[in-house]
Amino acid sequence: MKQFPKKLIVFFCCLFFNLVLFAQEKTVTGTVTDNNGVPMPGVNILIDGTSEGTQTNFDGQYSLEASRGDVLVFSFMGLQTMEVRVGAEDNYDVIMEADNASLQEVVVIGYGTEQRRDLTGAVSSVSSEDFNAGVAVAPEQLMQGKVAGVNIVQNSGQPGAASTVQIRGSSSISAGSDPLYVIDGVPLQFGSSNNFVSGMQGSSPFSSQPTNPLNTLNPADIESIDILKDASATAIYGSRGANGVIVITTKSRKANETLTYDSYVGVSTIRETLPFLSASEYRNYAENNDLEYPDEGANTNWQDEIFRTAISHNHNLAFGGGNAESNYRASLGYTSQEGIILSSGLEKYTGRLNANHRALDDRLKIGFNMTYGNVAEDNTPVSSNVNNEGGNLLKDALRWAPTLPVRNEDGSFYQLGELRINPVSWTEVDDERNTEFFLGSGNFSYDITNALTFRVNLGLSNENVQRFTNLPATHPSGETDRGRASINKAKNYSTLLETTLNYSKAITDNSHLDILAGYSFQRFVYEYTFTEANQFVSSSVKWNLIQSGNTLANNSFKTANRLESIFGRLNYKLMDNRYIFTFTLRNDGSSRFGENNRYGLFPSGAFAWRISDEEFFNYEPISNLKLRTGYGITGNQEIPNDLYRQQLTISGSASYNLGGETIPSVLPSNYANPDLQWEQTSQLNIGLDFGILNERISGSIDYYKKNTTDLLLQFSTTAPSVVNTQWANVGEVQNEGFELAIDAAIIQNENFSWNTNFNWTRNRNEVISLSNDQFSRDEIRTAPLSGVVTPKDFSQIIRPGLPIGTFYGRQFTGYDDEGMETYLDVDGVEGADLVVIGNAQPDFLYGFTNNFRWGDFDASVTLRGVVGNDIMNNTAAEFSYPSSAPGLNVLRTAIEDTEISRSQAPQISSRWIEDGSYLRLDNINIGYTINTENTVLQRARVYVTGQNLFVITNYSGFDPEVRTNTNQGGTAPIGIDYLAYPRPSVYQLGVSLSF
Amino acid sequence: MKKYKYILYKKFTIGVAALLMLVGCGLDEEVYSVYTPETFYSSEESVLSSLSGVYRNFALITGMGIEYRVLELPADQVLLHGKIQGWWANTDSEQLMEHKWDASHAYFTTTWNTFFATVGQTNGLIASLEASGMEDIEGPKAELKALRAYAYFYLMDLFGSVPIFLEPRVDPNNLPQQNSRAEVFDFVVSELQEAAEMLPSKTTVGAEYYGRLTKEAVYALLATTYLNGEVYTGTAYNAEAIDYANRVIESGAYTLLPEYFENFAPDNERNSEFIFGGVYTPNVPGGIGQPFVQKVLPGISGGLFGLPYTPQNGFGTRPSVEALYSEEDARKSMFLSHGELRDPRNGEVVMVERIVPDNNSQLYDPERSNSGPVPYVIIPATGIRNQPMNAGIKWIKWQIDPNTNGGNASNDVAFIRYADVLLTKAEALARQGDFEAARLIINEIRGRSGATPLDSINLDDILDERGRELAFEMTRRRDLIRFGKFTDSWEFKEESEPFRTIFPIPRTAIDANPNLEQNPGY
Repeated sequence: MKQFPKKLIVFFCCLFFNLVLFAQEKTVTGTVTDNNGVPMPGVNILIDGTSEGTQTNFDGQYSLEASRGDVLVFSFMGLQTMEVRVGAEDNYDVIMEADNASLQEVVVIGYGTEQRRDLTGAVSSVSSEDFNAGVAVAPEQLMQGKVAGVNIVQNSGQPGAASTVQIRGSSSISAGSDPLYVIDGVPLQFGSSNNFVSGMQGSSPFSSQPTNPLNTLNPADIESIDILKDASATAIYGSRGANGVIVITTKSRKANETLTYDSYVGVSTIRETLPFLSASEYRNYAENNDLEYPDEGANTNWQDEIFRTAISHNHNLAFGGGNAESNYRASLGYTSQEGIILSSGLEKYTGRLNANHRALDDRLKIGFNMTYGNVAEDNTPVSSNVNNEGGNLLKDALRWAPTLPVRNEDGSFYQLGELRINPVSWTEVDDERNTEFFLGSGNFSYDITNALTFRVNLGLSNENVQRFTNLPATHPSGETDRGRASINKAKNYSTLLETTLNYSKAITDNSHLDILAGYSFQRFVYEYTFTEANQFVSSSVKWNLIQSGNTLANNSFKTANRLESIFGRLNYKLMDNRYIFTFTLRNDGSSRFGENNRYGLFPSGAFAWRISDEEFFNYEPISNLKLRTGYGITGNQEIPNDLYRQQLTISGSASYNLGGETIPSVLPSNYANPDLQWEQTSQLNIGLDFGILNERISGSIDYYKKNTTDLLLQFSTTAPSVVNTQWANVGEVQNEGFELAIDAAIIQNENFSWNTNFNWTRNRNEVISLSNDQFSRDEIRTAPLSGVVTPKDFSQIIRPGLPIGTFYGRQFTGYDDEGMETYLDVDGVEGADLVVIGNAQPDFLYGFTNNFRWGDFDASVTLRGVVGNDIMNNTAAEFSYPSSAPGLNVLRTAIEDTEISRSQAPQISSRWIEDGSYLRLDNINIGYTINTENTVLQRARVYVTGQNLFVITNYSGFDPEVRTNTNQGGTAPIGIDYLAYPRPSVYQLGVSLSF
Repeated sequence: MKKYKYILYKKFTIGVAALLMLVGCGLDEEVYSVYTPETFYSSEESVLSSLSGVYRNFALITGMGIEYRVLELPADQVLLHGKIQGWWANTDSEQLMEHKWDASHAYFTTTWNTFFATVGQTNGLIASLEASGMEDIEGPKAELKALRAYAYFYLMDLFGSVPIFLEPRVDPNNLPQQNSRAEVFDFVVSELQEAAEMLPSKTTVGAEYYGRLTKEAVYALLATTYLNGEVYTGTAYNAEAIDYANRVIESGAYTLLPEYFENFAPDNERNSEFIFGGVYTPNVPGGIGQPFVQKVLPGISGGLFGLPYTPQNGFGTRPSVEALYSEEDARKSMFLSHGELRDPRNGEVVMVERIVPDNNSQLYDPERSNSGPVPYVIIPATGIRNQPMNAGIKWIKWQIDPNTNGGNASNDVAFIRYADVLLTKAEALARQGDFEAARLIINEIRGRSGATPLDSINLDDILDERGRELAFEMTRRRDLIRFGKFTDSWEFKEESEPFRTIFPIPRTAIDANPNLEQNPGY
């Protein structure tokens, strides 16, 4: 395998041996008609890659000089662009199809493509023209709110923040529930990407939010995103298919594309700040209650001091070219985005080259895609990962007394000490992260016969994440350490080899058989080094001369895993495509599992019936009706490597002094479990695709039921145990739901059009069991809370019969005579009852997009909402008790509450569970296309965009769309808000030019 | 031309096909960064590195973390004053000081897990050693068993009835059963006695064994266990306590250091009074340090003592503790008492610019001053909440380490030192009625610090002497319980219910093991 990358380079080099074929010109003629056979005048025809072309005459006829191998591009406003390759013939008649004919849409499925009309599985697609407008650093933001069955939660508003993407509910408790991403045919394994900052644990001010590995892709390079949802669609990805698959296809050169330039400038602001006490309210409260309080005579609104108006801008340049045999598209992108909190932001550079080549009478096709992205993030110390005394920029901004000044008279920051650090001064702390990502893939396909194609796909991905932190000696956070700096370098790379054989042949006049057989091998390697030091001679060197400090930690780590698989798919269409059968089978071998369960078999079968094509079906208004049904088994293996082995390791750099000698501390870290195996998800899907009034209205309804068994569960071992947690295949989770997606062309005029898209998702999640023959649990407590609240143990419960994300704790019932909180207590046992107090899973979510075109103007509006989920507002719990003041500043509601006693310490109860339902104006975009006749421009559009302009919600925190990591490991719980970086409102002005 | 191209592509196709043949695949992945036990236990070094892990986790208990708070804050010596700008205001600690904790208290979970982690680690390592096929494992096994018993001693002392579980791995379908406090007592005693037979005497192993359990260290713990035996079992074991204290004394392995504070000096390692505790080496990568000075002293002492950091002004103590000492007692010099603060090195009054109630005061600097000088005054605390920065008595027992790593100092902190063994013997003798023998020992302890010898003693004098000699050394809660005074009222604490002498079994532990029954009262 060592030779593999080298061979890949050789392979890419071969691509450059493309020589120009000298060909004969000839006259090509034909007639262009619409799909009713009516000739179409005025259709533009261009030879791809040249400026030569013509238009059809009044009878729809055309004639032009072209060479064999040329591609003729037929375009007409409002209709689909058609391409025809000039071959031996001289006459080519073309039928132009309406653009809204979604049935003709080509959908990317695993290891191939399929026309939407012939699909048997549940697949949603979003193409580039439907992407969300506005500042999008990561691809998943492009489709947020656009796809039924996909719940995307951007974890915070920090530039570059990761999102939680869930397709059809959360089917796993401890193993990852992220979908598999396949980019240009290369399946990628993220998740293990590092997040390792410091050995400071609970007192680290640094963000523990993971990076978003997809940030390094340029959204402007993406042609389409296809979401494979049900088992019949994802089973071809076998052990990685259970959470759904997101297939990202990047842009190849479009016919006639030469040069495009897009740019925007954006302005972001905080939507609303939290209502903390002003200086006078704070003083009044302390004085009325006869309390000593800190006062330096200042009137400071700390939130105003840390939030700012942030500027972002973006530039994309793409160009392409080619001839009959070869084409390429190259693009460069640059994004700069400031965060709305001081000292946060990112800069991103991307480059991409996609090239295709055909030879041997088109029997041989070679393609390659190469992308490089570099994201430099300046993180601000905002984290939910702080214990009682620890602080960070946002926490200190909320808790600092408004009577204290930002700066002393001499201009230096006013400071209290390391337990209360001036919020604005946190900007002196450095936290930089640089992520580089390279993805190269090459594919080679050869038609052995007309029906049989051999294909090889090679891929190489390499992600390098470097994170540097520095607490300077001059800042209170680094004073005790006399400066503390760290370097963390992580590398995550994979190599892929896939070969497939595809047989595609019409068996009879009205039936067609496709068979795919393939082999795949992929290896993933992850490694990191971490160095941390303090006591620097001078902090000015930060991490750049780390040997000038005293080494605290010096760690390295490496791990690797492999997947080797064979797979096949049989697709049989018969009776004029009225009946379509698909069977897939994948046999995956994974090095993550022990000898006993190394291989897993993942089958699926699906059937589609195009009812509207039946003779008996002649109800004119319904233009399309198709029933899809499928069942299959998929897997999930997203757990750390080597868990089946017993392991001993050193935690960090731990050592201890015995007999005067420093001895590294090695302790057991994992129990062997040779029986560990895949999490298995069986899924039934029944769907109905429909089209009404000649596809003016189209859509689909899907019902699914997913049962995930043999859950890869990481549970706390019962004391006394040599390891804290253990992995086993235990339990079952069910997700059941409905999805509805409707597209409608409400008005279709020459001058005005209105298209709308609505999607609605309901998922019901339930834990069925937490037991197997070796293990049984009635419940597992999860989701520890943070900050100064009690009890701080756990806020959620996993229990059979309840959904994942169930809040569990005391039910707040009011106050007693002394103003102390009271809680539900019906069982008579001393202490409050613990009961279910909320559910972080939404009842349903929806997205609603409208596109308008009016002459040269266009507009789109996307609204998105979630209904019925609860949020534990951990921030409010910490800052809502009068007893916390004047030690902390508090929310205004804390002192308005006159019933509560000052003796009441902050408590966690149902009092802090809030309804997280919201409706967000996600996106509004108005554009104007400028007349470019007689200019060098083919097209020019200017636009304004507003993002997140309003949110209708009863939630009292910064934003109801939130998911903060809490300070204990494992899978981060949903529905907890503690010191999340708030999401900005953004206004943008942009221009898009094509030459 | 075309022919040439055709051949080129054909070669290319063959080349790709050949490449596929060459790529050798398979599922056997290498393991890079973890040890697997089959390969690990083959040498003494590997065994030692595991012992290092167990000792390290256990030693950290002395490092003023959560476990220290659980051991000290419920007693009458150590306080944590919440400050008016919110520093150190902490419900968890307030509940401990006011005896208002319940089973969901997060510190109990941490403490339970810490001690049971030692049990789990030793169980696992004993099994791994036995499976390794190594010879001469009896020594390490005895050491691990002694450590395990040490952890069980604390579990019994803090939580009462805990499960005795000795297997390497808990069967989730057959969770450990709870044992009574008396059963745990019997187990601790017999395990320690057995281990002591196998462990080397401190008189035969020298400095190379520092930090590890020796025969005498185990005897010392046995003496303590027996002294408290009546609390755990209802039966007094004073004769046994005397017996094991004598074994320590008669071994000749330990002596009282001439100066009390030598015990707490930065370079106190390998001293003749230290029996067992945490060995702190903060300047070694991965090594541990303790923050006694950092977490206790007020901010101005940073400048005063030339510390490389500003201390955090957290912990303090009560006037009643200082009042235990007579004026001539050298041990009294550890307090920074009410009134004008004097530099303990030269007795000069410490001058500041002004006293800031909500922030660190700045030392007076005539060159840069724009106000002052005024003397820095420590005022009496009026409670445990909302206190000015200069309220409450402070102490410097573990001496200032000039080579700290940040706030982490290298003074070793003992679980047991020789003075404790002597006091244990004295108390056991007194409890048997031999107050005269006890008095001689007490006066030996007092004499070292220049305190006037006592002419006669009663049991309360012994408690007070322990309070003086072992102040802040994690024994006070146990001592108050043994003397029946733990639930009394004292400054900022009302009289509490009798059941509070045993902590509740943490709710998280009962959730994880329904076999556990909660202690009475909770």
